[in-house]
Amino acid sequence: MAGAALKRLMAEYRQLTLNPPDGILAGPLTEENFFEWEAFITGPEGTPFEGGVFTTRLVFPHDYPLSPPKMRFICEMFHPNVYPDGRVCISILHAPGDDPMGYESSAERWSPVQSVEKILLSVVSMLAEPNDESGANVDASKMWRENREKFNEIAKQIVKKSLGLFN
Amino acid sequence: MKVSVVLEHLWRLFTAFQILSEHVDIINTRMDSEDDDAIYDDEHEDSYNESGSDQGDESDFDIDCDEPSTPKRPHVNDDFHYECLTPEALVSHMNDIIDEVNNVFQLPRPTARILLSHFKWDKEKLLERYYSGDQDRLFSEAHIVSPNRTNPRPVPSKRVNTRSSSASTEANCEICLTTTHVSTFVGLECSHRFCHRCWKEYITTKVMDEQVGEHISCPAHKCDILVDEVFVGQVVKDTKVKTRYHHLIANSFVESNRLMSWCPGPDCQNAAKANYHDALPVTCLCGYTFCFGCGEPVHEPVRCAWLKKWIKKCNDDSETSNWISANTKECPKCHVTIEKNGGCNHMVCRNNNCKADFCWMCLGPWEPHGSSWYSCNRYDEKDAQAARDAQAKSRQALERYLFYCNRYMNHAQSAKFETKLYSQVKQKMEEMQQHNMSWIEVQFLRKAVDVLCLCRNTLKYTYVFAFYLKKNNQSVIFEDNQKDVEMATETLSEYLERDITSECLSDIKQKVQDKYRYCEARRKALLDHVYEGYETDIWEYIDYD
Amino acid sequence: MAQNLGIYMDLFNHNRLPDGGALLLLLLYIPCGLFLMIFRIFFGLQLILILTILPKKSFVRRILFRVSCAILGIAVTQEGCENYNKGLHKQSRNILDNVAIETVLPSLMPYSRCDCPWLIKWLLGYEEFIADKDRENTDNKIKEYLQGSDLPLLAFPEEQITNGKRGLLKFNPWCFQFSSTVLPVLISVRRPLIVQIPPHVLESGWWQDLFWSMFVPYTLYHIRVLPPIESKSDDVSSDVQRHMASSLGVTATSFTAQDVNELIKHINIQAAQARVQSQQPKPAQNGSTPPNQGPSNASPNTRLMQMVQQVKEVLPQVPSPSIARDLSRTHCVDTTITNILEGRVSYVPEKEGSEAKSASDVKSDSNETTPTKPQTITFSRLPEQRQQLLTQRKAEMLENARRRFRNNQA
Repeated sequence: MAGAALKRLMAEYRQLTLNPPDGILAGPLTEENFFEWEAFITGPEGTPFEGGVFTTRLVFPHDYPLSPPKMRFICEMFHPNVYPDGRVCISILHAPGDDPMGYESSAERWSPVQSVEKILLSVVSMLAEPNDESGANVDASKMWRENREKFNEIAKQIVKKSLGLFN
Repeated sequence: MKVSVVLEHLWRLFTAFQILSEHVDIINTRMDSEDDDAIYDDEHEDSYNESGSDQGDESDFDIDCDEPSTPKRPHVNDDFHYECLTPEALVSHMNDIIDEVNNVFQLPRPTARILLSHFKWDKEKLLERYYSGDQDRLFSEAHIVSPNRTNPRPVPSKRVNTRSSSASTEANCEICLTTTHVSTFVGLECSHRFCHRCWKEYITTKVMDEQVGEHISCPAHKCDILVDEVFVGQVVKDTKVKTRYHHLIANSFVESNRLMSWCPGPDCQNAAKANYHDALPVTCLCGYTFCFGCGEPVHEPVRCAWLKKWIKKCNDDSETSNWISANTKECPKCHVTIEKNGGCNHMVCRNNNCKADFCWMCLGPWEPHGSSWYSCNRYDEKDAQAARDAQAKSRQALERYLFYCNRYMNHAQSAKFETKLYSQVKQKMEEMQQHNMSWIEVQFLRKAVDVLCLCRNTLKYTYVFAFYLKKNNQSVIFEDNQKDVEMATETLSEYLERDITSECLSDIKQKVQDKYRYCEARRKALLDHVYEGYETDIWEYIDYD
Repeated sequence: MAQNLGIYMDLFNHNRLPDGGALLLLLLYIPCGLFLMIFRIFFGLQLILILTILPKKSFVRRILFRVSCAILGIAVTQEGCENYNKGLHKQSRNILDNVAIETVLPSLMPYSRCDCPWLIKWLLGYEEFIADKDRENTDNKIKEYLQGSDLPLLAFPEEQITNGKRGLLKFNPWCFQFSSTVLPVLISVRRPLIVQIPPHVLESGWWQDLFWSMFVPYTLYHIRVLPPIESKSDDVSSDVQRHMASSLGVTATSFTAQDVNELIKHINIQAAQARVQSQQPKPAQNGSTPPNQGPSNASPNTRLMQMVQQVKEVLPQVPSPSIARDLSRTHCVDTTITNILEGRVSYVPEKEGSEAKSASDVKSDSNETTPTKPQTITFSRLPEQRQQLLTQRKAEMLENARRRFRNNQA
C-alpha cells in the first residue's frame, strides 16, 4: 500500500521537477519522508496576492492516491477559503463523499487521477478567485465581500511578509 | 411400551380438548366478549405466520404494494404478510426481481440491478420511466452507460509512453503513473482504463475501508459510472473483499427497499420481507421479534417516530445539559458555567483570566451592591421574569423527563427479571406434574408469564407515549387505562413470584388464570384506545425540540 | 569487469545439457535415468534415514553409509586420507560433495554462505552454524563446539561452486580463524561419458543438482586430502588458496563470491536486453555467454531485475543486492519498498557512484553560476541532489519574486 503511494509520489515529483508549472514548486520536505511535501505557490498576477511566494505543507495519506492529501499554508494567509490555522478548504481536497462546506456537486472533487499539480493549480485559482460561498475564514469572507480595499491591503501585507520584506 | 406412550399422548390430547372447552365455557359465562378475541389472538398470529411463509406469489405481492398503506391496528392485521429470508434466499429474491425486470428489458443483469436500486427497487416506477421518458437520461441518472449507445472503443490511456520502443503495447496508468503492458488495463463501459492493480486497490479500499458497495464509481475525474458486480468479480480475487462487497450490495437492497428490513437480532443475517410497510411485529426465523417499521423491539402503543426521538433523547447527554441549565448559572463576563457552593451571593469567578465579581441573584456586577445605588432587591419585571422563566422551564422539562424515564427504565428492568421467572415457573410446572396434574393443566403458568412479559413491555412504552402526550381529556382516560394495566400487572407479578409457592395448587391456578385474563383484557383496552386515538387524531403532542 | 569476463565465465559451468551427439545419447538414456532416480528415491533415501540415527564415527555407520552412497550413485575415491585431522577446507563441485566427504571423513559442518540444503545437513548430522546476523555469537559458538568435540570443522571458503577447470575463487578468510592447522581437501567429480552432465551450473538450485545426481548412473567423487598446512602468516586464506590451486593445476583468482553474484546479475541483464531488443543477433563479444538457462528460467530473473530497477528508482540509496534479496522473498515491489521503509531490510547505504558525482558537481556548478534558470533540469536519482535542486529552485523563486516586487514598488 505504502509502496504504491510512494511510487506514485515519486513519479509526481519527477513530473513536477522536469515540467514545473509556472509559479509552482513542490517536493518532499526531506527525502526520508515522502509523505510530507513542501510546496511554494506564487500569487497570481492581477490579484491581491500578486507576487507573493506562499509556503504550504502537503501531508499525504498512506493510501494516496485513493485518498486526498491534506494541505496547509504555513505562512500567514488571510483568505476566505483558508481556515485561520492555515488549512485549505477547496473541493478538490475532498472525496466525493464528504461535503463539509456544502459545495455544489459540479465542483471538482478528489479522485485518484487528480494530482499534486492539479491541487496546486486549483489553489492558485482559489487565490485569484475566492469562493465566498464556502467560507472557511468568516472574517476574510465578510471583508472580501464588503470591504475589498481593506482586504487588498491585508493581502499586500501578507505578500510582503511572505517575501521576507518588512517596512 | 410404545403403545402406552401413544396412549398417554392421546390422553393428554383429550384432556387438552376438555380443558379448552372448559375455558370457553368459563369465558362465555364470566367475561365480556372482548376476551374471546384475546384467547384466540395467539392462534391468529400462527395463522398469518403460516400464510406469510407460503406466500411467495409475486402478482399478489404487486397488488398489495399498490395499496395505500393505511395504518393497521395490530389486532386486525390479517392482510399483513411477511416472510423471513436467509442470506441465500435474499440473493435469490433479488435475482428474481432482476430477472423479472429483465424479461422486459433484456439488459445485462448488473445494469438492471443498478437501475432497480436507483428506483429503490420499485419495478413499476422503473418500467414507467423506462418507457415514458428519455432512456439515455435515465441511464445517466442511474450512473450507467446506456447500452443503446454504440459500443465505445476501449481506448487505452491518452498518454502513451513514447519512449518505449513498443509504444503501442505499453500505456501509462493515470493512478500509479507507471507504464505497463496494455493487457493489464481494465475499465468500465465509460472507457476510462487503469491498470489492474490500481483498480484492485481502489475497489478494495472502497469496500473494506469506506464500506461503499453500490456507489463505487469509476476513479476517473468527473466520471460517475458505477462499478458493477461482474467487474468487481473480474478485478478483485480476494474472497474476503468479494464477500464484503456482496454483503454491501445485499445490504443496500434491503435498506433501500421499503418492503424489506434486516432482522436486528444478535448475529442474525436474515431479512424480513413484507407486503406493506408498517410498524407491525415480525418474528424472524432466529426467533427474534421486532417492529417491521423501525427495527426496534416491538413497542406498542408508541409510534416509531416518537420512539426514535425518545431513544435519541435517552442516549445523548442533552439531559445533563438540562440539569446544568436548571442548577447552574453562567459567569456574566467569561461565560464559564458555575455552581454556587456557599451562601454568599457575592460571586468571584474562579476562572483565573476572569475573576469577575458579580451578584448571584441578579448576575450584575458586584460594585453597586455595596453602594447607595444598590438595586438588586428591586424587581425588574421584564428581565428577571425572562431569565427565571427560562430556568424554571428547563427545570420542569427535566423533572418531567426524569419522571417518565424512571418508569420506563423500571419496567425495562422488571422485564429483564421476568426471564428468570421463566425458569422458576418451569421448575414449578414440573413439580405440579408430580402432584397428579397433567401436562396440559400446568400450561396456564407459562401463559401467565407470557402475558406478564407482554404487559410489562407495553407498559414500558406507554411511558414513552405519555411523555410526548399533551394533557387533554383523552389523555386522562389513557392514564386511567395505564393505571389499570399497571396495577393488574403488578398483582399478577406478585402471584407468580410469591404466592405460587405457598397456597394450594387448584386455588392458585384459578387466581392466576383470572388475573392474567384480566391483564390481557386491560392491555387490549389500552391499546385499542390509543390506536383509536391515532385514527381519530385526538392525541396532541409536545415536541421538546 | 568486462575484460575479466572471459576467464570469469570459464570458472563456471553454464549449460547443464550437452550439445549434438551427446544430447542424443542423453535422450536415449532418459527412461533409464528416470527409473534409476525413482529407485534411488525410494530405497536409497530410506537407508540414509536409518543412518541418521546411528552415532557419528561408528564403524557400522561408515559401512552403511558407503552402501547407501553406492545406491545413490556416489562413488568415492580417496587419496592422502592419513592426513585427516582437525580443520578441513574444501572446494566444492556439487551439493552432494558433502555426502562424499562424509564417507571418508566425518566432520562438523560450519557456517557456509552457499546454501546447503537442510535435508542433507540433517542427514549428515551436521551442526548448523548459519547465523549471518550475529557473527560474533556464531564464532563463539563454533569455538566452543570445537573444543568439546573431536570432529573437524568443515568449511567451504570458496562459497560458490565452480567447475574447477580454470581457477579457484578467492577464499573467505573468516573460517580460517578457528584453527591454525588447515587440511585442504580437493574434490573432483566425474560422470560417465554417455551422460556428460556437469554436477553444478551457475545459478542452479540445490534441488536441481540433486535431481541430476539421481538421474545419472553414477557420480565419481575423487577426494584428495593434501598434507596439512600450518601457516602462521596473516594471510592464511590466500596461502591455502594458492596451495590448493597449484595442486589442482589451476590459477588462484581474486574473484570473490560477491563478484559471482554480480556476474549472475550481469548475465541476467544481458539476457533481458537481448530479449528486449528482440531477436537481434547476439553480440559476438561474449562467445562464452551461452543462452543462459533457457527462456523459462531467465524470465523470472529478468523480471526480478526489472523489479529491482523499480525499487531503485524510488529508493536509490539502497544497494541492489539488498533489494534483490528482499524481492526474491516478497516477489512484490510494493512490499519490498514498504519493508525497506519500515527498516525490515538491513543495508549499507550506497555511496554515490564516482561518475555520477562528477557529473552532478558540474551540473550544480553551472547552476550556481547562472542563477536565472537552469537550462536542463534533470531528475536526479540521488536524493541529495534532488533535495539540493529543490532548495536551490526555491531560493531562486523567492529571489525572483523579491526582485519583481521591488521593481513594481519602484
